[in-house]
Amino acid sequence: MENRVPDITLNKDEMRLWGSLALKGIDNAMTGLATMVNREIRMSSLSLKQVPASEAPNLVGGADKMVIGIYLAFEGDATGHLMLVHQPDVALSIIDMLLGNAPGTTRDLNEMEQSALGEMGNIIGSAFLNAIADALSLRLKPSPPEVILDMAGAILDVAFAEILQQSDDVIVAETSFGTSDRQARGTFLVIPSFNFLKVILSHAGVEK
Amino acid sequence: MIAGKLDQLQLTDVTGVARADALIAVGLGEIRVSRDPGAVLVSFGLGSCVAVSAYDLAARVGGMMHVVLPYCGNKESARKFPGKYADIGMPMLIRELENHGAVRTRIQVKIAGGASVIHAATFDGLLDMGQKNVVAVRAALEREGIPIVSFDTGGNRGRSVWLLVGTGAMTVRTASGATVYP
Repeated sequence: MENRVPDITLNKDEMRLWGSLALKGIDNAMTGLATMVNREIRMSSLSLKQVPASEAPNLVGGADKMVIGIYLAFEGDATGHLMLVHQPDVALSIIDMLLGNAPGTTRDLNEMEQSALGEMGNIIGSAFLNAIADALSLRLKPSPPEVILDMAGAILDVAFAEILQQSDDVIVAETSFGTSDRQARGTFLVIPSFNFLKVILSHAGVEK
Repeated sequence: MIAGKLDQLQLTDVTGVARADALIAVGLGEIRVSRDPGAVLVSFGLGSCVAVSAYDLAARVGGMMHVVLPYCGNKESARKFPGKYADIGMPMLIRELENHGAVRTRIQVKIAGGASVIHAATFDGLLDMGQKNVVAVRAALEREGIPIVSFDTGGNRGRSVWLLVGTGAMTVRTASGATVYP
């Protein structure tokens, strides 16, 4: 019989389609972020990856690396996971930027700081989902954002667990971005579920 | 508080092991077994996942499984990747230990992980994934008749877990510190 779960492996055309949709969403997300912080945001890379489960946590520089993650799940016509990953000191510097403080002011992640980052997650997540939902006439709704300081792998476990229910691989769109002065920089991860990939491919006319 | 202290805890601090080649990383869904008494098996950054550390001290064999999901749901494809699932992975872990010289009646197990790091993901099926994994691991061990001698599960913090093959000691590290289960 099959050696692998067969459906998840995207062929070239499907990967291109998923890539162009992801790019559309990420572009909108970065525009939203630029408006929110009133600065130019540069995307330094966008990569689409399909990696074996065991290697997935390496995507964020190591599973036990301490990061501040801003996490949103989404549901509706399809489910999946969005996460902004920042080095802790960079996240603090982003908070200064968001709250209009002088750089170096924020030293802790308390309620107000968390809600500032959460709001940034809201903006980016909604902009990403809106672009994809509009392109395909889907309904996609983000969860409230969650701001977590912990090991990167630990934050991503649930997202990986969802797609690994039906696949041996994890599919991720990974974008590095930052302001031109590098005060804010981070990684934006989109981890679709198996059903999300099926839904977008079928809506775009590529039947699985 | 945030930026300074977090990355300072190094491997040598928590395990006393400095040999770089002794470290065997156990990725998501993997099962690794070693009979090198100097070896250290490690699962990094566990959230809802559970690390099952099993060893036979007399035979000096240790194994670790990095469980991602509780049940395989009888999917044929799941058989190719058993370590991902608590239910079908456990017999495989035990068999691997036996293949390396362990004796079933001497095998002891320590488990760690199964946290609830994220609360927003409250879709059906993903809710309490950590707890479901812990329940499934315990059930699988009960079926195998293998005792759990230590556990460090639940809560809402991520963990990294080391098993020292030579001593059977399990070390669990979180953002705030490390605990040794000798």
